[in-house]
Amino acid sequence: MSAILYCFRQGLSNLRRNFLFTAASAATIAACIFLFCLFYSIVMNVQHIAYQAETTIGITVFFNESATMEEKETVRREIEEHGGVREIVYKSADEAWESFKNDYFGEHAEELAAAFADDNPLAQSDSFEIFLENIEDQEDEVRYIRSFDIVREVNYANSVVSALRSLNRVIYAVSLAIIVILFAISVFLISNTISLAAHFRKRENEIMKLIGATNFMIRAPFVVEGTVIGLIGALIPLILIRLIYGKAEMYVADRIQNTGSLSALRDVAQLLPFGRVYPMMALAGLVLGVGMGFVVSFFTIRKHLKV
Amino acid sequence: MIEFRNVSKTYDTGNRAVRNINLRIEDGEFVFFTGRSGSGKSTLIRLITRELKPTEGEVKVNGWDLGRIRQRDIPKYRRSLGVVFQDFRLLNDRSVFENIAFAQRVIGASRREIRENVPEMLKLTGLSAKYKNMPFQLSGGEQQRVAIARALVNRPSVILADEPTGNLDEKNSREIMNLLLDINRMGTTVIVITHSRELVSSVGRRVVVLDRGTIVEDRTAVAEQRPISTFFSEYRPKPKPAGQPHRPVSVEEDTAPFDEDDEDDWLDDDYDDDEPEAVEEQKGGTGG
Ligand SMILES: Nc1ncnc2c1ncn2[C@@H]1O[C@H](COP(=O)(O)OP(=O)(O)OP(=O)(O)O)[C@@H](O)[C@H]1O
Ligand SMILES: [Mg+2]
Repeated sequence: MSAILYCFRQGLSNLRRNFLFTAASAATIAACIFLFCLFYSIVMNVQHIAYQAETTIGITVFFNESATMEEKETVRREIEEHGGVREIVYKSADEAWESFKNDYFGEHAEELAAAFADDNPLAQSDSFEIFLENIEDQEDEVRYIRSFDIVREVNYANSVVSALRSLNRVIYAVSLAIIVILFAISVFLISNTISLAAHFRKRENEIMKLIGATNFMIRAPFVVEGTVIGLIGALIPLILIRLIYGKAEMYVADRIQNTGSLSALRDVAQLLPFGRVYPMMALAGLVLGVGMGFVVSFFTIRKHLKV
Repeated sequence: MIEFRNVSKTYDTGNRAVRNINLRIEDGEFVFFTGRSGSGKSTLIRLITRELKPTEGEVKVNGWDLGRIRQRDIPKYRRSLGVVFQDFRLLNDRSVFENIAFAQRVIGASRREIRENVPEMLKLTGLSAKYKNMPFQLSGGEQQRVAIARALVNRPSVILADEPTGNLDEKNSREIMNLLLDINRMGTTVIVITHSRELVSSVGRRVVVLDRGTIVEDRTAVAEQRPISTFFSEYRPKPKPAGQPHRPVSVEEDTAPFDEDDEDDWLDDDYDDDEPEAVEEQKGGTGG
């Protein structure tokens, strides 16, 4: 027990002695983990938005002008029987016009819409709004719906979503590359910091060995040093992200409120609540920082203090 | 028991520092190694500490065959030795107290034990007032005494002292030698390297003389005349003898409890490190 305490204190005193290198290593790890958190938040949110877009927007099916109500009913029944559908909502032309007015004209809906008077510009736009149980089936479902003769047009979140998805892939790849590079630099710097510390303490370590210190007692302080560097490197960005995320959340909410645009967009374009992103991210960051500090210093010192 | 059998050591430079050494030292013996500079005395000690491996032959100490000892047993083995290195080998980045305490930490001593034993050793070696100093803030003789205190603090079964009095004045030398003799009398094997003929002859113990790496003389001990010194009372060997040794002043009594975190509180300047005897006359320390 007292030996462990001793090693711990020794490790901390190494940190002080090696301040510059320690600071440099901690800073690189901090940068690495900060970027990790940043990209993680972005990727998670884009994914979230894509998902929201798919689930709340649904598939809208428009029919040929000639299609009768019975025919539409048949199609509805067949789609339901085909399976995988959560809900099918019929939207009459009037309803479509109402929601269009609200979405696009906002507060001034009535005044602006007055120009159209009783002439519904969306007269032929009665539609089915189809929500799927499983969003992954969307493409198949769309293909199936298109196979009906009376279906004129099928709109779905495809273009937005696939754009988001591919954007996400790019972000993912770029961030991965940057993180890997920073990770490598961090490993290099920690390793150097520990090597330097070991070098400064070479004579001391040899004396300790001659007095009968075990490898554990000689190495442990260095591993403590590396682990604490990792911990500091993780805590800084996690605290920073905590501060930034709340601000970002408010900013986005604010912007969307002010544009007063589509209600659909309002539902969709919201940041994931902090509580849902942060815990996993914090855990990953901590594991990354502390784990890297521990593992790198462990192996570095093993190499250095071969008996 | 320490045993050298046909031991030779050739350094990487090709220098044959010791050749064909045969030597047997029984438990509880007191032996001087002497001989000219470069004759191989330190090399023998470094073979015993397993800092060096013999090029030829066998070195056996307390049942360990040092040529075959497993790497992971070496620390354990070394903890049974107390070594005073010729060049002291103090930890330069730690205080006197920490240097001595380190030997205790290595054997897994508790904080309580450290707080008890280290001050005792400081007192024994007359360093009580300097416990906070760093090695570079000490004179050569003081550093040497720290090295001695460190070697003794674990009460090892074998003490190897390479010129332990080389930097000390006559009085300090005599005190240290008396201390080593007392320790030996408690059953500890002691090997002392010295150049001092006077010391060797005044103590009258076994003397091994080396010359250019070989033993040229091995004189056995003559009866010892010296009375037991006062230090005897304060050095309690690890396997405690049956009866409590006579102790004029107990270290615990006149030393305030020591707190590592609060080293300043530990000692007052009223320990005179030049006159260890005076300590015994002292009334209980004021402590912290
Ligand atoms: N690390 C080393 N590498 C090469 N040669 C060495 C090494 N250490 C000692 N020697 C040589 O080995 C011989 C014995 O050295 P050693 O240190 O044992 O002498 P010593 O009897 O202790 O001398 P002194 O009384 O001066 O301390 C010397 O000739 C020395 O030069
Ligand atoms: Mg020597």
